[in-house]
Amino acid sequence: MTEYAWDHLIQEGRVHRSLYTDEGVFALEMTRVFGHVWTYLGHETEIPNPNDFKLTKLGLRPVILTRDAKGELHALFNRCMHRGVTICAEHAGNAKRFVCPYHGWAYGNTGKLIGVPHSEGYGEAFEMGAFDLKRVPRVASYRGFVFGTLSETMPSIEDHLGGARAALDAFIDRAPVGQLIVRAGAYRGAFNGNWKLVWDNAADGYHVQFAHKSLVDMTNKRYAQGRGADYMASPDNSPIYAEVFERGHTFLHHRPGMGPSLWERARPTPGGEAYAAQLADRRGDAEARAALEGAPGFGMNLNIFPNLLIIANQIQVVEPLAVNRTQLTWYATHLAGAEPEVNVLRMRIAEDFPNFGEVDDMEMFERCQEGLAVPEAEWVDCSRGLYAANGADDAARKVRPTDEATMRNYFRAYKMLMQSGGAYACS
Amino acid sequence: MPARDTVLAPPSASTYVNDALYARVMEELRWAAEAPPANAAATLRRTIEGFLHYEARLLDQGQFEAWANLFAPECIYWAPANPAADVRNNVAIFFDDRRRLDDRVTRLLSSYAHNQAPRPRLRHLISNIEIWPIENGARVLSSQIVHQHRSGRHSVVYVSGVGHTLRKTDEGWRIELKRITLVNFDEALEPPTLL
Ligand code: FES
Ligand SMILES: [Fe+2]
Repeated sequence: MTEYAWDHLIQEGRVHRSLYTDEGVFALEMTRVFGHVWTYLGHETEIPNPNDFKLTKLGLRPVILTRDAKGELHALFNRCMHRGVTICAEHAGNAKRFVCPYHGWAYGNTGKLIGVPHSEGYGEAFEMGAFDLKRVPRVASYRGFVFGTLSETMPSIEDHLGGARAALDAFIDRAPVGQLIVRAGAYRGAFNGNWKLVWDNAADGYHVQFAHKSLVDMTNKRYAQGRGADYMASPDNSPIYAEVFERGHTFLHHRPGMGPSLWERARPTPGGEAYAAQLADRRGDAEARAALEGAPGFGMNLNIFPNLLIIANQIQVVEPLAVNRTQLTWYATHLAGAEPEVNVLRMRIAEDFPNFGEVDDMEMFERCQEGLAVPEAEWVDCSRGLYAANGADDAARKVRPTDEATMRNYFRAYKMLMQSGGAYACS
Repeated sequence: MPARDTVLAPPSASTYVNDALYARVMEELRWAAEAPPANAAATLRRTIEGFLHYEARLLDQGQFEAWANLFAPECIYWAPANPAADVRNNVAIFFDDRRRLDDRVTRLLSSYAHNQAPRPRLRHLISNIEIWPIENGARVLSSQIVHQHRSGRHSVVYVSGVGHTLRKTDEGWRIELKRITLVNFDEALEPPTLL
């Protein structure tokens, strides 16, 4: 495989278009990033019971995430060790074993090969143990979020989350009993563009008033001031800010600009008044008002490299499909222990942004991909805010919301991974 | 002064989307599994077909406000992401009440809705219509194919089973519920303009 001149392709303040368009780069990413880095595979509450499973992916690799009879998690490649058939086609379910439909090899949900029909045909020396399913060697759960890595040297998941961990904790701790339930279905979208276009955008406080103008205008036209993200009209003059963390994670913190109540700030929701009234009847006004704060988005874009984005009140997973094709899956979440009315409202709030906001983001991503086809315009610029840094830019953890330090930050992690063949040079 | 049906009413409180409504909406999926009565009156059938064709034409001609005003004041416009699941506790592709439906139309008609430029050309094809008469109205099942084309951008085809709950009012027929179950509800979608 060709090696690339990463120092040339990834510079401070600009990156080369080929990172978005070159199939060879994409192929390397599918191991050096989606492989070696802790990659989000799913949530424990999707497979709560012994022998539950769900299909997922590690980059392009089809994976079955299982919970065995003892409750342990396994990430098994969905690939028969005989001739390669995907042994499981159901999206999710409960199964002690997976039987390959082609010639009937049977595997336990720990990956162990437990049956080969007419095995005498393989002779006496045949070793079943050599044909157990291949697996993602390291799987770890952080408060229900399950990650996997092919790397033996990646630090622990806690270390990988690093500075982003506090914000993830805060998102989880909105639940009265400190646990999210991810069993409420998903909204799925796809676009013709590279997966990193999502990352360029994920903590971008610069684009909102332009790319999302249709949503901003609708909100201003139909609703009183103070709904939606009106502070984004001039984000650098608002109290909101972005943070960058080691290993590529970024965080755009809207809450300082959102006023005292997230519920009052959220765009009106189907059933909003009905369920607020029902809750007040049951619990009284004060408790109802406090509980409703758990329904809307949490005022954060928390981006955990490479594929886990916490946005609004949900979990967005970035799934690369090809150098120019990406799927975005938005898993809705319930708060364990929350009032039922709050969890109902969370569903309707979850539908808001994919329908009203992400549609325009995805349009921008596709048009980036189209524009990046021009070989003569080589560079994608991400220098905004760099002038003020005097080279110290990225020591600063808190930056202005329109500052492209967030983009430079993930590219710094990305470059380490691509250069080292899949390891972080940092601690 | 534009004609009444091209103006959206101002947003009103969402007081009717409650447990009782969710129960009714889920009921819709149950009757859709049953056989319709042998012969709904021919005149009713013609009326309903005419209404569905008119609704489709408003969408195909881009008359989104007039289309939205075919819905009742307490309406639901719904595309399940999992038709087997209770939408009260599961996310949908969309589950709009009156207010959010009008939000949606307002955004689509904005000159800054980037995914609407160039404007998608839509064409709805409707067939396999079955009718269950109800008091002052009808429940209707149909199969629909929506072709969405954006010049120089893409063509997408959405194939779905659609359920309508329609009610006759003094102002004409109104849609209380429109449910669109895409055959690929569990796959990644190009976001539809309006189904
Ligand atoms: S490919 Fe699976 S048993 Fe042959
Ligand atoms: Fe955006």
